[in-house]
This record gives sequence, C-alpha cells and structure tokens, in this order.
Amino acid sequence: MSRLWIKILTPTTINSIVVGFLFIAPVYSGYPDSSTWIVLENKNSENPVFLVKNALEEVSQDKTEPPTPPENLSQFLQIKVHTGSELVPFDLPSIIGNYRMMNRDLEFRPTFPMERGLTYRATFHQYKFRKFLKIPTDEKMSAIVSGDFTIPRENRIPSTLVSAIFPTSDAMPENLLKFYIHFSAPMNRGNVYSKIHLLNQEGKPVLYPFLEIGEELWDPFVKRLTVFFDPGRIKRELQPRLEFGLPLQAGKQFTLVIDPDWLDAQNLPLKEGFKKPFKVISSDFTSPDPAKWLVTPPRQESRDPLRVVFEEPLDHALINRLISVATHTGEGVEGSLSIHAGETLLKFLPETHWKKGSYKLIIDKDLEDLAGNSVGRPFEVDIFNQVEKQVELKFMEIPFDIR
Amino acid sequence: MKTPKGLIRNYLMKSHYKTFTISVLIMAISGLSLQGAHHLRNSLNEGTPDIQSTGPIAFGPEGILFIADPKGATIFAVDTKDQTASSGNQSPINIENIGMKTAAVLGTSKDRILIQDLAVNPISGNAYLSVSRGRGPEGKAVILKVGPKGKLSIMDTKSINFSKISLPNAPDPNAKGRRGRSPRQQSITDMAYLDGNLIVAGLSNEEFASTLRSIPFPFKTADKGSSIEIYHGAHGNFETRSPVRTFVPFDIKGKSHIMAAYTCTPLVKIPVEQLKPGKHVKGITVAELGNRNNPLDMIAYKKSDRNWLLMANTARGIMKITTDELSSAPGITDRVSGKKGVSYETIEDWKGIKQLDALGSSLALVLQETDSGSQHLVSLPLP
Repeated sequence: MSRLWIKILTPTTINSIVVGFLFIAPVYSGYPDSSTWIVLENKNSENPVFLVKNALEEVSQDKTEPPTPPENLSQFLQIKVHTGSELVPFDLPSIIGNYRMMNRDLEFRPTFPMERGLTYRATFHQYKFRKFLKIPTDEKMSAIVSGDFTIPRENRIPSTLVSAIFPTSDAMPENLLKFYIHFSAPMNRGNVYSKIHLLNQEGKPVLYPFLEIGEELWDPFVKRLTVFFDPGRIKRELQPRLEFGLPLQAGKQFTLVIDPDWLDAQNLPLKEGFKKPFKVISSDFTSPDPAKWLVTPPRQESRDPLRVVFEEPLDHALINRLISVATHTGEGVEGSLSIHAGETLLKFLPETHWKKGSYKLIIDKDLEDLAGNSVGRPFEVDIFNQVEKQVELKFMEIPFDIR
Repeated sequence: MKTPKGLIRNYLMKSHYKTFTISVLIMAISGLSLQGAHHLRNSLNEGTPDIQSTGPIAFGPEGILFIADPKGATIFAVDTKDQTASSGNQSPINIENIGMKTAAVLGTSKDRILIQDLAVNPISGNAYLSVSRGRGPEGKAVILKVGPKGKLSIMDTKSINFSKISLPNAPDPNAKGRRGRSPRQQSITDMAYLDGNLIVAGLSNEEFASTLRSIPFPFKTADKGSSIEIYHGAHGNFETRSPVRTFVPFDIKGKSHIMAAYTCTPLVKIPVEQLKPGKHVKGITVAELGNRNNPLDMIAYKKSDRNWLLMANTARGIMKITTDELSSAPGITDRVSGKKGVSYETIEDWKGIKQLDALGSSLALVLQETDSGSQHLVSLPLP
C-alpha cells in the first residue's frame, strides 16, 4: 500500500477546482495533522481501489463501535476524471463504482479500470460525512480531503503503420468500389473518414468520395478498415453522380492519402502517413469469369503451390474467403492462400504433399472484382440489356488433375 | 393536455415499433397493472448477456431493448424493467457535453468512447445510449440510461432477463486449415421491431451485399429469420443490390411498409409482405436525395394530423419529408417523365444530427455534434 499524496485543501485550491465546493461547508486550512487520507491501491490492475483511510478513525477514541454509515456513500466521496486539457463542466459526473465501509476506511471500487495518462481527483467530504454521522468535528478540520492520482502513460513511441492498401494495383477502374486499409496494429475507431483523403491529379481533394457510416467497417481486430466509395456517386443515373460525377475519372492520376495523426488503439499516432498514387482506367461493368482463369496444377508428391491466374484483379478479402480447394468428392484440402501480382495471381500451398487425383477449385459466386461485379451478378444490371447470368447455384467449380 | 387517444396515436407513430397494442398502452398510460400482458417479457430468461460490442439499439414493446452486437454477430433482447409511464407531457432531455459526461461516468475521456446509437423507451421517456468504452478492439459494451433530469446511470446487465439470437455470418469455406478468425464482419446499420419480427439491416465489410433480415421475436434458436436481398432500380434502367442504411416502419393505408434509405441515398417504400426469402425485393423509390445526403437515421411522427418522416443525413440540416403522397406515388422509375417524388424540406437549423428518436409526441431527442467535436443530447420540438 502506498500513500500517493494527501492534500488539505486551502480556499484557494478549492476555488481552482469547482466553485460549488465553497458552498458546502466552511473550509479550514492549516490542519496538518489530519489522520484521514486517500490512497489508490492496485492502480495498474483491472481492479483499482480508492481508500479513504481512517474515515471513521477519531470515533474510536470515545466509542467502541463506529456509527453505522449511510447507505448512499457516494455523496461523501467522488472520483472525477480530469483530462487537464479542456474546461471541465461544473456538473461533470463522478465515475461509477461500488462504495462500502471496510472497518474504518471508506472504499470505492471503480467499475472500469483506470486509464493511462488521465488524472483522477478523489474528493472526500469529511466534514459532511462526520456531521451526517453525528461524529464530533473539530473547528479546524478541513471540509474536504482530496487527492489527485495519475496513471502515467507508458513511454512509447509511435510504431503503428499502414501495412497495406488493397487493391495493390496501380491501375483502378473508374467505378472502383472500395479500398481496404490494413494497419500493423489495432487502431482507434471513430472519425476515421477525416483521416482519409483522395487527391486528384492537381493534388486537390476530391469532395466526399466515400460512404461515411458511423459504424465504420472495421474487422473484429480493428486492424483493417473497409472504405466504400459512395455508391450514389458510382451508380449510374443517381442524383449524387449526376450532380458531382464519379469520384475517379479515367485517364487521370489520383492519390489516396492517410494522415499520420490517425490514432492507434494505444492512442498514439501512426509512425508515418501513407500515400498510394494510382491511375484510373475505364469502368468495369462485367462479372469476373472463372472460365477464363488459368489453373496450373503442381506435380504429385510435391508441395508446390497450385497457381491460379485470374483474367482481372479481384477483391483481396473475398479471394481469401470465397475460394477454396477440394478433392473431386468435395473433401476440403487444407492449406494456405497467398495473393500476388496485383490480386491477379492466387497460390495455394497445401499442408501436405499433393496426392495424384482429381481436385476442384470452388468459387463462391459472391466473389467480386474491383468494381463490385461479382461472379454471379454485375454490380449494376442493365434491365433493358440483361447481362445478368442466370445463377442457380451459389458455387462454381473448376476441376483440375494432379498427375 | 393530450388525450390518451392522442397519445396512443402518437405512440403508434413512433419510430421503432408499432405493434404496441392499444390495450397495453392504455394500461401503461393509466398506470394500471400490466400483469398478464407481458407475453414478450415472459419469453426472456435470467442470466448475464455476453455482449461483446455495442451497435444499434431499438425498443420493442414492454420496455424490451434490442441491442445489436456486431462483433459477437448477435442480437440481444433485454428487459429494461423500465415500465413506469411518463405522466403528462414528456419532459425534455437536454445534456450538454454528453460525450464528456458519458466518458466521465465510465472513468475515461471523451476521445476514448464512442456513442453508437440512441433510443428512447416510449413507455417511460427515458433515453438509452449504446456506448463503447474504448475505441480499440477491447472496447467494452455499455448501455447508458439517461433520465429526464439528465441523470446518467449504467444499465446493469448482471442477472437480467434476456434472450439472444446469433446472426448467421457468411460461411467461411476456408476456415478449416486457416488460422485465426475471419476478418469479415457484418455491421448492423439499423433495426426495428414490427409485428412480431425484428427487422435488421446490415452491411458487410467485404462484399457489397444487401441483406435485410426479418427475425421472429420471441427469438427461437431454430429460426434465425430469413435474409432478404434488397435491390434498387435507378429509373428503371440499372438495378443493384443496395444495402439499407436506415429505415422506419410506416403504415400506408393500413398496410405495413418500411420506409428505407439506401446507402446510395434514394428513399424507398417496401411493403412488409414482400419481405420474404427468395423474393426479389425492390424498393419503390419515392424520393431521390442529392449528394452528401447519405442517410444516418430516420423517425416517423405525426403533427397537425399529418404524418411526416424526419431523416438525419451527412449533409447539413435535417430532412422533413411529407408522406401524403406515399400511397399514390407510383415511384420514380423514369427520369424522362420528370417525376420528382415526394416533397421534402431541409431544416437548416438542425445541424450535426448524428442520431435521433422521438421523445413523446412533440419532441425529437437528437445526438448533435458540433464542428469542434463536442456532442450534446438535445430535445427539439418536432418540426
């Protein structure tokens, strides 16, 4: 147990905290012998505890048992967050937690762990507490015992980076649907769209190119953010596109810029920002066609990868999730996928050696290209000029043999 | 003073559910016992829900709060036991710096929390905020209750009555033999209770799929509801699968509809009877919104004997949409004919509205964000 610091408040210090305290009770300074103080135990753990030591101490001199404390102890001890960086409202609530008397100490256990870098001010209204319990009070007693407790920040330097942005290709279709931004460590959610900019060939920002949704499309690890282009700007004949046009224009250069001040989950900025320049090619309105893929099977008894070359770049996340390898009887082959060459080459490395026989590549028809055209359905279907394939099955299969 | 009849009508127009039976409402308003009318609450069992993350929240009947947990791919129904009817006119709720104060209650700073959604319990008039304490992957799910006098308290989820249903995530054929969890996550963008079903709109962080799920409530493990693909046809020419961003149940000439706004901005009506699996459901466009009007949240309400929709969006101001022509509007299918759809006005004074819900019959409770990033909870008279 360590006593962090005790302070007997003077009127001046009280003024500097919250004006309202002045009206609670007369405040006396110069009572240096107070035997009541506040400590914080287990401060770095999941279960910190504030203790007002000897909240009832002096009673023991003339009574064998201390008086029964009131049920609502929160009126006598409050713990408030002080960020120190901004004006704190007068009516800032106390943090929540559980109060109880532990012998002569008043104990407060916050419901949530304390945060690094923040200061917590504990204020015990000892004059009010004693009055309430009808304990004799000393004229010179301070109305309030208070302590500030800071959990120091860990000394860390920014290290999180943008580890990749997909598509990795440097040529994007005019109707590109989304980017995936990968980070090397978990990030902070909230206000992400202010950290992502699309600059045109002249280096000027493209206004409102993305679908900004409050939920933010992170993965469960908060390490990958999906950024959709505003579909109203991409879909033909919609008002936003008619008013402002496509965010990207074929034949021009654009740059996706990630601000370095984006905070990671440790509240530290990125080690550095990120720029992804790319050129824009014409729109893509057609579905990927697995019949055009080039499948190169490895030799039997080897552990060489199966190679599949797509006829166009496909969506990185969906390749990972929606393409798998199975034997001709449908039994899954275990292994790992890797994606190369601007998402046009898939390598499948089996966990064990290939056995001679017939296999198949299974493709979920939700697999999309960069413009959101899926194997089963283009992003936009022209109703008067139906190009949608009649899709009955959810999966397509490409057979291949290992010899 | 409002008559019970007027109140009932207004309650029925509330944003997040409409099946509150008149009998229950009358009892709630008059303070009579609700014994015997709790068939939905009775479906919940005592326990501690393992809510991993907080997304949208919505009230059903009987003070039941639906909580979406995108990380856990689960929806919880919890009994708030918040059943004391507000008497007389609804008291406004106004809390300056709600972000900072919520953070203070949770022992942290406002830059380390996220307020995800806002819902008002139509019985009590208390507001509930869905909050994440922490913005990283370890963020803790918290439901904060806000009383009319601005008192903030945390809904204790230990030993409460609840039920849950897990949402089927897209199957991962490669899960076997691959390490780690799939990075795919279904964001739940809105939900509402309607006639014994919880309707849930979602958006994937991978494929541009559009699924609206209709889940029977009380939840049954065996019936996770049907996933309905929703399409949008732009002027009869181009058709896309279009995720629904926000929606509100709405009665059009006695027929249940949902009024939905797509992520690509058009406002559509969809008859609820069409929300069936395997059906090619295409919303009927009733209004087209311009650029920067990405929808955020929507409520329906009644004022001066007319029904209105109020929609918050990313542009400045809020949109007040007339509904008189909804029943007759054939839908905007042809740009050449020059149809403009239902009319709306933009109320410029309502700035930075991120979330909204009806608070009683004459107020909207909004979560407002200023340019400096401060968030306030404000009650505004319905326009």
